[in-house]
Amino acid sequence: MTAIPVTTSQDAARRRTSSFFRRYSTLLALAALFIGFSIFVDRFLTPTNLVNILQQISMLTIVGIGLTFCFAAKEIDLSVGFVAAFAGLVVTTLMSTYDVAVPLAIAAGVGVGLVIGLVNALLVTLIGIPSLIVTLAMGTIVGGINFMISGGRAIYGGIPATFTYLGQGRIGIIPVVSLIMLGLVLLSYIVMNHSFFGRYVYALGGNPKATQLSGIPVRRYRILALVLTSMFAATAGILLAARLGSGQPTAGANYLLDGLATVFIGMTMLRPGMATVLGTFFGALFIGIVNNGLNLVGLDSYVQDIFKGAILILAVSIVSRQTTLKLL
Amino acid sequence: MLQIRNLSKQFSGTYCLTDVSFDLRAGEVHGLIGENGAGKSTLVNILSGALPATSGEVAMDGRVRAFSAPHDALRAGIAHVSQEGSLVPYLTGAENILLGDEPKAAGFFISSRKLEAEAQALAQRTFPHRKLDLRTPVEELSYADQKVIEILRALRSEAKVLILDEPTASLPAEDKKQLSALIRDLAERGTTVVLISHYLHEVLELTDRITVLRDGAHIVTMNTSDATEELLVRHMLARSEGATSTQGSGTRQLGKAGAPRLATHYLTGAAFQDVSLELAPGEVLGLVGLVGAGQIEFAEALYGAQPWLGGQVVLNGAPLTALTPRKALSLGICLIPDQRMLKALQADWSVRENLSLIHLNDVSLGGTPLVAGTTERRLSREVVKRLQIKASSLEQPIQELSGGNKQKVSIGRWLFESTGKDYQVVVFVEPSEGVDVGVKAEIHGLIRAMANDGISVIIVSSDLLEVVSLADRVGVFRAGRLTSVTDVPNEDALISAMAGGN
Repeated sequence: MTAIPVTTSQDAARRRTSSFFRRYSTLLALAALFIGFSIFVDRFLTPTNLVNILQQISMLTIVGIGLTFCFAAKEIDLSVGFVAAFAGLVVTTLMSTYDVAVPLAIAAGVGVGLVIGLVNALLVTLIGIPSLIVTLAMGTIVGGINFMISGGRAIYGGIPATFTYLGQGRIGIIPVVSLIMLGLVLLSYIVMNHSFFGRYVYALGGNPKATQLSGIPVRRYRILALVLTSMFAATAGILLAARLGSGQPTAGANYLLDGLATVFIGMTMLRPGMATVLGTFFGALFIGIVNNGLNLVGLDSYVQDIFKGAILILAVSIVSRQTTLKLL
Repeated sequence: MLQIRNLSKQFSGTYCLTDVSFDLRAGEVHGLIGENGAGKSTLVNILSGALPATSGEVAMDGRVRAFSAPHDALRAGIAHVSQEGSLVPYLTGAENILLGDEPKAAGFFISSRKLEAEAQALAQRTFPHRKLDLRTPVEELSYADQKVIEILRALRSEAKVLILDEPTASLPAEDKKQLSALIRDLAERGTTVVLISHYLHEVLELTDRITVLRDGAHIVTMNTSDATEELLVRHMLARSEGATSTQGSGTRQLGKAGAPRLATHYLTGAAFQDVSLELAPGEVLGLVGLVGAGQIEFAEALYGAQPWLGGQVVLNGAPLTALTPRKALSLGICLIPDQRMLKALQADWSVRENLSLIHLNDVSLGGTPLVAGTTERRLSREVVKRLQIKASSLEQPIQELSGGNKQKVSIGRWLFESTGKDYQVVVFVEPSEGVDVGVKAEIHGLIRAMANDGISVIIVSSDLLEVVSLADRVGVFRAGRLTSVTDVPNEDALISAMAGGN
């Protein structure tokens, strides 16, 4: 009557190898890409260029990490690009038009992200509209507001150097933005992998019913995840404004698609099917290296777009073979 | 007309259907009954070609048939109307009936005129006395009409055998009556109808013969005229042979003299009404009932997992007017639910992560909201050892464990960083669902130990032997109400009470 499952050591070995490839194939591809570029592309493997890559991916990584929070809760946020631009405009307007002190202006920018995220989250949890729809609409609204407050023009002049330092300065050879990005990656890694918050968010994303029956306030954590996503997008937008030295209504336009790409690429590795902080970081690195390498080869940016799109489709095909992607 | 011979089906090592043989006659209504997990769906899926049989065969009019896909079975004349419904909600009745089989105009376009005429003709032929609106999107029609349209769709290919899976499940009484008449009508004109239903009175009323399955085995096929509701329930549930269903723990001395640990007063929820009962410290109370009688929902409500619509629960003298799982947890009420992969466990997670989820606060890193990894592993290891959970490591994904070990993890979640002795009330729903005999005995030992420690335990189970051997008292649910509570439970009396006889 008692059935004893028979597992031979061969089976186990095969499972281990296959799970190794499942976890690390994307990382191996990334390493191969890196080595390939190093060998065949001049000026790729130089300290300056590597630092460049790190700088180029900073804002994107922050957006991607933000998206990782809501993906862990099986939600999505399509408004991140517009929120980033909005936060950049708010910060620069406050500084250039109203002479607001730098720390206050930054706090206001992050606060804008918090409020938008909260509105998204409440519409999702209290009214029950899918986050895909809520954030699509919210993105459109915020995009409109961006043009309204800026009149469609860049906001510049009267922006203190302490602010632009965040985007343009360096400590040693390392850009300040990259340090901020690495700090946020580390913090998020700890939060998602070692805190109650991370455990609960993954739990509600994996099985909301069981999570609720385990006495965990599911709604609260779903709200927090969506708020964090928006706050990270705002932070990226503020850093972008600091880098550009101005607020632009169309800044961060590519954050949404590229940010989603980093998460999807990340979902193919480490814990396949799950959005993880480290996975997203490597996803951003992947995109950064592809962009940089193709750039050095001298390919036009639209060719890069074609490559990026192809990589995204590949990543999603791998992910959806392992789990059913459910975004609605 | 259709013979089922020695049919067996094995899923990953366990048999869901063992050596089932019976036959269907032309023009009869044949009831197929059994509790959840008895093998009805597996059998139906094999008959309708959705699943291959592991062994055995199906013969139609003397010819052995093997169906590799549903359309094979359909072509042979076996049609299946599933429980969930399979209509496209925004298409009209006519469009649904002929979906995938539409009459073409000019070789490419669908002729809606022909389509309607064809569907109407089929409806006229099959149910001459029923008025049906085939031009309205089906989502705007009544349940009964939708069912009729599903049946018409199943019949468009001249089905000889029509399998109806719980056709009346969510129907209002008036519609039920109409559908019953339609089923009789079909049979009189030669179609064999297999009726699967949990409503025994309906089966008794409608069928010519009845087959009972239990635990994947064929128990009996009998003429309906020889059957009573009580007899059927007995066939569905009784496991008496070979098992000694004697001595519960009913003889134990309980602290019944004092105040009850838990009392409900007219507690009402969506699936149960006015349930009042008391539970003494250290008492094991069994709750039984047929599928849908409300006992599971009632038990879940005690943990706040089902909303209360009325009534009150009193815990140690303190009245509660509302409860959430979170609040229940803090009051020392636990629920080990049925369907563990749906209600308790995270399929993608490791044994360790599953074990610690409820009591994550107990492995906090010095009071911060961070998880202390070493403490978490140590406590997980202790639970694994105490409950003898068989896993290759703490990090093994829970999906890879056997049913019994998954259940142990589901229980172990509550015993993480706690011997469980502080709990007030522990509710088990189907504690040995999909669990092998050895683990079942271990779980029973655990339940007894809890009771001996003074915890009040509620067990809801469809395994009457389990209830009888564990419980001090047993409450019987019928149609959402607690109809009796017996002190010295015995299986026979319970079956009578569940069936409503006396």
